[in-house]
Amino acid sequence: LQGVLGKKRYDINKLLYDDEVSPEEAIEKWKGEFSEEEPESQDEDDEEDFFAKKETVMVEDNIDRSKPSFASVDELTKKWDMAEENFAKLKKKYFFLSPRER
Amino acid sequence: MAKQLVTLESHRNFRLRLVLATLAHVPVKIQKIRADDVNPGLRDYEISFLRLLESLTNGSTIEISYTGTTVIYKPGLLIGGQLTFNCNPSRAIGYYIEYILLLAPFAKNKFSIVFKGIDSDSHETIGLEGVKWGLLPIMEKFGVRDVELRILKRGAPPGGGAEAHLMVNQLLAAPLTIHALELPKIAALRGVAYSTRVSPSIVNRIVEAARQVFSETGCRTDIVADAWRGEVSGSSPGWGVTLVAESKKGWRFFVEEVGSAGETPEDIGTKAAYELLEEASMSGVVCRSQLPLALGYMVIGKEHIGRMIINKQQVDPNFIHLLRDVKNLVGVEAHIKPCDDYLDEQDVDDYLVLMVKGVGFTNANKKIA
Repeated sequence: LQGVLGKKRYDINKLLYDDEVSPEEAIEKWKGEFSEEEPESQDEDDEEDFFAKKETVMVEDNIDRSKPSFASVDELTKKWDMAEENFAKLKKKYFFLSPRER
Repeated sequence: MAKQLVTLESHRNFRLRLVLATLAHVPVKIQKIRADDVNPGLRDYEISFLRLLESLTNGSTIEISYTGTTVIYKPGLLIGGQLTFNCNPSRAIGYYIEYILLLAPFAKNKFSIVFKGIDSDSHETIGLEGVKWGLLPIMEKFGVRDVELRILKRGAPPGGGAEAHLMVNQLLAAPLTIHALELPKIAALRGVAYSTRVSPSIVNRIVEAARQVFSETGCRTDIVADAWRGEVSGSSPGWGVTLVAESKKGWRFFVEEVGSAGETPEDIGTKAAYELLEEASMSGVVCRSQLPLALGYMVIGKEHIGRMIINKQQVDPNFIHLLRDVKNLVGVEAHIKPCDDYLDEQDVDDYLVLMVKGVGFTNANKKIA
């Protein structure tokens, strides 16, 4: 339930409803990808904010959608066609195997 | 006994927020709707959804600010009943139906709504087949068994002309509390490829492509080809596919793809098939498109703790947004626990248990004993 070893551990249940932490940040913290030393250069930040804002405007229309997003077909093909182990794992976990393969 | 106004921001989870507000009888103010956008304010389809809520309730008031960036919604009594609703054609009918499914069993009169509009779009909206194959089974899990979506006419965008009849013939006092603590095992891969106003060979090509991908799973595969023609097929050509991974216990993961310009039927079939595998690998007992509805039903349940296995990958920013909205409107907090009590050791790292205590909601309409 906690983040990756070595970094500070976070309890997901504390992050879920912590209004100080944005949901995006909460996930990063929980998964251990969050680095504390983030605000490196303050002066550059303003500029970045400027650009970031434009970007959110474009993405924003997706926030009330009902379907999840997927990687591109090429990536999915690579993941599921080439890598036997992914397939084997999924099969083992989820599928009723036909008598022939059991 | 007016409850306090809940203030929320942005158009995130727009429909779910309004629906939960209706069930919980909380007036809600949503502000800063696309405030930074070049074209600020509510969209046509969102206003259309508000109209739908207005016609399903009695005594609701909706105030939209001059710029359209603020909405105040004071829900009235949920009436339901018979209705024909013309959906705004910028979103598929599924957009309107999806969260209405959460309201339907708690109305005064049984729902019987004919939706008119377009049947599927490329705006990440769940299509008609998706509702039928993916969302209705979720309702079944919560005790809403007598529900049917009948597709009377199809109609691809932009012309549309689709008609779907949603019938919810069951009213509930409260939904069942679920304890879904076993991972579903997929028994069959099913689906439907549909088309309107194009050559029927297209659906067969989609089916063939998807089947090819699935052949490696060794799982029973059954994909139906459904080509519509004549008067019931709307006014525009279109085609798409819905694929479902079905477990013996009735859980279903689903994905959908709609054909757009420049794509061959084979592309769509293959893409959807791979997406289904991907989605299955990221699902607990429900897939990502089913999670909001399932959570909604858990929240408005009796005052017992419902439990459901979720995949670790389903805990993403959207999920947290969802949980926070639920807390703001209904006042219920979810809790996430490791699942070592329920699953085998090999699965413990990939899954969690979502625990939600129902709000103790009871249907205010006393028609049901």
